[in-house]
Amino acid sequence: MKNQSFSDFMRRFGSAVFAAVLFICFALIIYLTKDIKLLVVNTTVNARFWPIIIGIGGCALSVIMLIQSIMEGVALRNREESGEAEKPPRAERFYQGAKRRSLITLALMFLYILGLDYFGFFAMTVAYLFLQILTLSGKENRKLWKIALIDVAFTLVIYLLFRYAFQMMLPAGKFWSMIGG
Amino acid sequence: MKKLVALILALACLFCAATAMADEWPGKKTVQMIIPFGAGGDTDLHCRVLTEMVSKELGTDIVCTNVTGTSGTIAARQVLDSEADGNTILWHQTSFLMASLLGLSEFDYHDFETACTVIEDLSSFLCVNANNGKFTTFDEFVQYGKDHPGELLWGGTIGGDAHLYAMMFADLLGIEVSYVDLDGTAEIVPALLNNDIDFTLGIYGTYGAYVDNGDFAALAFLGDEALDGSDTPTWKSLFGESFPIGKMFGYWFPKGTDQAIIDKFNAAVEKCVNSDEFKAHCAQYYITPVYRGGEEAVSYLDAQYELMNNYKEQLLGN
Amino acid sequence: MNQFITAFSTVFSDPMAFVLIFAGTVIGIIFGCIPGLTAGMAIALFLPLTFRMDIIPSLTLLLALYIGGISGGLISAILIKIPGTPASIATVFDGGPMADRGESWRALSVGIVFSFLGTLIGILILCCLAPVLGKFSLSLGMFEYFSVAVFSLTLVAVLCGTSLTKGLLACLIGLFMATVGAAPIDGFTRFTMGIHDLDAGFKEVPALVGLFAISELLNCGKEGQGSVKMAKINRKGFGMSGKEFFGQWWNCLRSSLIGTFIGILPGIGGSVCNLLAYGVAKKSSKYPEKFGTGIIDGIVASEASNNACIGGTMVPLLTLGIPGDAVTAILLGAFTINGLTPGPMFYQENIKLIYVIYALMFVCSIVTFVVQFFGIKGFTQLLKVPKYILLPMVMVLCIVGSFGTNNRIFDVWTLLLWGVMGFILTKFDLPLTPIIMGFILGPICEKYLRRGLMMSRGSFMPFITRPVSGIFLGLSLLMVIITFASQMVRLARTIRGRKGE
Repeated sequence: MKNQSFSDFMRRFGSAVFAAVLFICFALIIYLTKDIKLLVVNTTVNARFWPIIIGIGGCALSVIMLIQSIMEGVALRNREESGEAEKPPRAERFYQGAKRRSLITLALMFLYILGLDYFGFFAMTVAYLFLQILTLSGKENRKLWKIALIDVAFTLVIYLLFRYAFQMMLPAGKFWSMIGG
Repeated sequence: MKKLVALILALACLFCAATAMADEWPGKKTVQMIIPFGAGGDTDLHCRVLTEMVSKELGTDIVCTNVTGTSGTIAARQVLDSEADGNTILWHQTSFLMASLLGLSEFDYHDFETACTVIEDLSSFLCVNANNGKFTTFDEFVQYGKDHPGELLWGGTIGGDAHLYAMMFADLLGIEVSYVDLDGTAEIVPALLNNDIDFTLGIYGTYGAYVDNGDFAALAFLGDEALDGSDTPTWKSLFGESFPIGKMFGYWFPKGTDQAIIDKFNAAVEKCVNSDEFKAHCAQYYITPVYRGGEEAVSYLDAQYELMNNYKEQLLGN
Repeated sequence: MNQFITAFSTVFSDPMAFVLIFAGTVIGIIFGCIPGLTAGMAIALFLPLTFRMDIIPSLTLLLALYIGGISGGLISAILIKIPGTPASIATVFDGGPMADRGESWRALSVGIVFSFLGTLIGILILCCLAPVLGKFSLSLGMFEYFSVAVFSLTLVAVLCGTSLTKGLLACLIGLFMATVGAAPIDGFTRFTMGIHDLDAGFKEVPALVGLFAISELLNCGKEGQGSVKMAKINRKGFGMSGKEFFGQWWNCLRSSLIGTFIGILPGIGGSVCNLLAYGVAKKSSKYPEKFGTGIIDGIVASEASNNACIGGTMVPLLTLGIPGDAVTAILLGAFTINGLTPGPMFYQENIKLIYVIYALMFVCSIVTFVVQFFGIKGFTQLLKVPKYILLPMVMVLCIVGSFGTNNRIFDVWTLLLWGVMGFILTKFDLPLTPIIMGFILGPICEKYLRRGLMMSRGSFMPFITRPVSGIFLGLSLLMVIITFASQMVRLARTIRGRKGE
């Protein structure tokens, strides 16, 4: 029961919560401007001016958004409780799956970047691509060996193209140079 | 078992060889030269020309990369944080000192190994719009400045070396001027052509062309001689001595770099600086090649920094 | 006319020229169409290569890269809804929906054709009016740059969809993100929390790519997988009827003029002019509500302007030796290395070279058009690749691009940061475009406002009294009033509607 009312609340007033968070952030910005060091001191339009304007504008707008969201949330609650609008059914399996996929994608990206500095571009990209494609492909008929082949081929092409043809730098793994002496 | 021992010995030898090779500089890794200002400017140009000669002399590839931002502090920090294996070198100029003076960076040149300073540029001149309607000679300029304190507007990078020269210039002449921030020639030239600003202290290599075609006028030269061959007053002729500070350029290594590497580098640089080819390049741009290495360079920088320190209050209270 | 003939013969007398033009164009298009890599990056990478070459081969390569790079952005904008370069952001607005409907081929054709026309118009203006425009650009200063930037920002309101509040909030978020780093003029850092990697602020490429690409990737898990539909349509011709083509003439011309004008202004470049042209096209259209649903007008406006911008940026470079943006600064570097001194006499002294440059630009734009047009088949093959394979690959390329700007892993982390931020913001219906507009235009506004005030000793008058500046500020005010009024009308209508129920 508690779960239900919480998810109802978030569905109706989530935007309002978000607007409140934004308000706090913009207020924080205004507060932090006092620490900005100045070189040009004898004007009002100095290095603090612009962030303060942004902060003030942001606070004002987030208050407006807060009010709008609350009004919309209240209207939605009234409509749902009076039966005018249907409450969306509990999250289906598919939706849960999609949320999970997004989180895994996020985690994969995070680990990929984390590992780039350490294991280098080639190794990490091969690993990342494989796992990411697997995650996103869902239940479709997928052939693992095909994915692995595309994965390695693509990474190789990119590596050669950028490292040697374009002479661009790619992350080199500290790990490899450590064991190489 | 024997095979294993042999393998281990072989690996050990390889390891030793690898570390031994690491002592030789320049080794197989590309040497990176970091330039703190954008492509096309005088800092960039002089670096590329000289570094090309130095790389030929050393027999190794030196790649120049521009890393711009905040009077060169971004570039300086990048070199500060890089490995002290001699493969990252910083090219910088007077702004380097300015940045630490003003507190834009918490580090200064003492946090690096100063390799050498190579160029002195005293080719600046008082550059004004030829048709500004307020003054046509140096004396009129000074008089105008005295009669209208705070009105004369200088344009250039606030917090950069040019700002310092302008401040010293005004101070030594006893006039009060105002300052506006403009980014490089691309913005200063149009502003001056439009009479949006009143003057700048331009370097002759860049602004001389505008004097030649009549858009701008050179009212005084900060160096010892009139670079356009005319009888325009020079600082020396007006005050009996040279303008106290000039723009210097030099090379720095990260702290902890092996002295042997620096010495090898310096030797190559000294040779190139004193070469006819480089002297010709400098003559073309009205700058002076002057090599100062190691300790000598550091004392030279210390002296310049002392001088700048006198203006610190003024710069920060601007 | 004679000069042109001589110029063309000079260019083609060297057989290497063909190789350079072709290679440069192809590489430029590759850089342009891969999100994370930009035309500017391509030019910066190949500049050292040109040091060994003479001036004409150097310029041949660099110009081919530039034109190919700017044109290439439309490919990814349309096919995967991620702008390849900031200059093609607005192409996504209508190109994306068209691709969703299976009209990718049509969208690509329109984009390629009008990219080409835009470049031509830009070159034409450059050739004929360069000295005049050069003089004009000299009369523009801090006040004008500020006013144009403000005007561009007000167009955010036009482009931000239904909720003005959310659009403005998004814009402010972008404005704030741009303040992180060294303050303009003072140089002291703001909001960096002691993280030194942030001293120079967030970079544009990770921001753009993070906002548009990463959120797309994170959303991929939600929709069905599989490739995008490709409607089997008639592939003859250029994807549009003669009537449609000629119907766009005013849109194309106006957008190109906007692009060229913006190009002349320093600091503001392709990233802004495509959005500006799109906004103006939408505002002055007979059917503004159709913009964003997938009409060719949007693509025409965006692509014509960003290519015409190329011609514009060359004006101050060639007539005054003054670089307007990062790319022209690099071209200037190419000039200096080859012993050509930029300056007031640059145009007169190097007139022969300048005509060669015009000829080169003309040839490069034709080659770009041809390569892209015949490449459409190949590009659309990309669509056959399922999204769940294509998008992760795009992600990898984005990372390569973000890393390549400064060779720092930190920039890749910012990519993720922007991506997560974009994802969260879209969950709450905040539009992404105003964020990037605020991010790009914010620093310009602030810098020139402060400089203008320094010049005028604190007076706001010059901002209004100087003609060009005054016009743009006036237009900005008008824009704000109109948008506000239409929002009020809409509000009144909904209230009246509710009362009637």
